[in-house]
Amino acid sequence: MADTTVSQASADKVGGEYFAVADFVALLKPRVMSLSVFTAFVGMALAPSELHPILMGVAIFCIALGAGASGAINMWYDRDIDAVMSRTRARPIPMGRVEPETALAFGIILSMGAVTLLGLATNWVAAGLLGATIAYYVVVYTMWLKRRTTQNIVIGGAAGALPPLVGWAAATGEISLAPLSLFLLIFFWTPPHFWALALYRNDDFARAKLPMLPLIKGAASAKRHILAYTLILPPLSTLPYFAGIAGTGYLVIALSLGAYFVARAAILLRTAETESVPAGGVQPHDLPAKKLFAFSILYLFVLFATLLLEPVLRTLAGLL
Amino acid sequence: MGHIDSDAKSDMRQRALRRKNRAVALSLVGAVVLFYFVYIVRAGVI
Repeated sequence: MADTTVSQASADKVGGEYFAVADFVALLKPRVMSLSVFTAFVGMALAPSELHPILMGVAIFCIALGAGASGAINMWYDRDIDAVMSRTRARPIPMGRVEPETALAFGIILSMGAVTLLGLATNWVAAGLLGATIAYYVVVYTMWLKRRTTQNIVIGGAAGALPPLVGWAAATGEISLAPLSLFLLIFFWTPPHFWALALYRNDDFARAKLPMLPLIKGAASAKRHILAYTLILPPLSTLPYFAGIAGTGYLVIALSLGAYFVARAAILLRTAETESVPAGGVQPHDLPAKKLFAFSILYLFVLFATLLLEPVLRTLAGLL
Repeated sequence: MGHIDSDAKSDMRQRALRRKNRAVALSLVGAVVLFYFVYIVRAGVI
């Protein structure tokens, strides 16, 4: 199936007689975009402001476009390493379905459009933050840190943590401690999430010569780092409660899930004493890392969904 | 045979170009509509 697609793409590349909207959608990294949109929406919904529903929709659309645009520019810059990693080699540029320059132009035009429209629809604090997020992801993470340091996803993770701030700023025109608590939560969640992925995708990152922590410092060190960051998460996840944007229901869920996250990281660390990084393929001892990676996604989703739904449930309970 | 291949390729190129033009045109119309919507909402019309 994959071979058929590759040969079809090669044939299509000749002479530029190929164009598909789906490839431009793929350039926007829809899955990464969905996380940004969701966390931005939570930030916007929790903010003490009555933004017009249409403007709220436009703001979310702009944040989605901005996140997608930075993904397109990232794919333009990383086209060489995308081509050698199994996880990314089916992307439109390595497949020859979109010219690199077209992806770059697409990303730049979308970025400018998203920032301008967000500024006109809401305010220029939110637009400035969106522009800064795109610039940070493209310049600081993609161009500067990603290929240079084992701390690439730690510092670069700030880009993924900014959308709730953009959402909050779109609704209120300012930044306060409450959305900062959401920023910190995503910021400290990112390293264990990505290092768990890097642990079982080690071969892929090695082929691309990316200095991922498990590759440079070893699996045992990466697992210790994962546990350290995971230990920070439960106390950090209480900040929205103390900032006044979450209730006791959230607090109980956050602490329970945080404890389970720590337990999963401890299980992962225990496997480090007897096993090294696998030489290739999915090994049975990749399982703790895979489970941690999957749980990390659920953890963040449940926490943000609780933040969003708790006030709704409380209102409904009050009506009954 | 080569002539037929060349015709098929030219036909494909034409269709791809039409698809691309349509996508660009629709995007531009969408952008204008979106900016107009923002304008009328901010102006307090709706």
